[in-house]
Amino acid sequence: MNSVSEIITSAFGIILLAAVGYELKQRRRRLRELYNVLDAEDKHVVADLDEMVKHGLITPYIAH
Amino acid sequence: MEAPTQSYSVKELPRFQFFLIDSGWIGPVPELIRQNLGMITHLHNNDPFFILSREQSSELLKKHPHLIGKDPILLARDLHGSKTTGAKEYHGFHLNLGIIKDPEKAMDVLQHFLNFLAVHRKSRSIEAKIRQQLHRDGFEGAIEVLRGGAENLI
Repeated sequence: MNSVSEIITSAFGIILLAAVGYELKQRRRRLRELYNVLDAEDKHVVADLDEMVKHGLITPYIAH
Repeated sequence: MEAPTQSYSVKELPRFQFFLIDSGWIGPVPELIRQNLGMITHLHNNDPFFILSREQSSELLKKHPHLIGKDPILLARDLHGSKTTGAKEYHGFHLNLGIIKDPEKAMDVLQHFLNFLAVHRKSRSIEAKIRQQLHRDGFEGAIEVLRGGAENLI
């Protein structure tokens, strides 16, 4: 009887740990979509923005 | 919000270049950002803030389709990133506000992001701080979700 309850407790423990791990992974993925450091793709975007600044296509915003 | 751990003596020069990319210009989130541009620029008054027009933003999104659906995007370029790492690469961060539908939540996230950059603007490696924050937010969020789930069970 004892071993059965130990097996059930262990199974629940494993399920709980797996749920925590899954939730953590999902949460970090969503956060990385929201904000992150610039990656390889973004660096091309910054290069284009740099060009726009260099050619005067965009100028700093001045608050009124 | 924790205090910066390390600082270096670049005080007066701009630390960031901000870019606002928004191809839509309609909807509660872009409206809210426009209404609060003064606040955004006030918090980082030494840093140049560039706003792309709708056409310029659309062209950029066409050229870089991985950005589609994520705008309005606030891109902060760290001008001192290469000085601290020695790498001749672009450094910085982006905040993809377009993936948030609730304007109040978007405002909250924007304020938190700007506050974070202001607090850590003198840090040697702000990218490392962002990664730490990402790690911490993910962990805290998971705990909150699990706590919510546990409360529902109770």
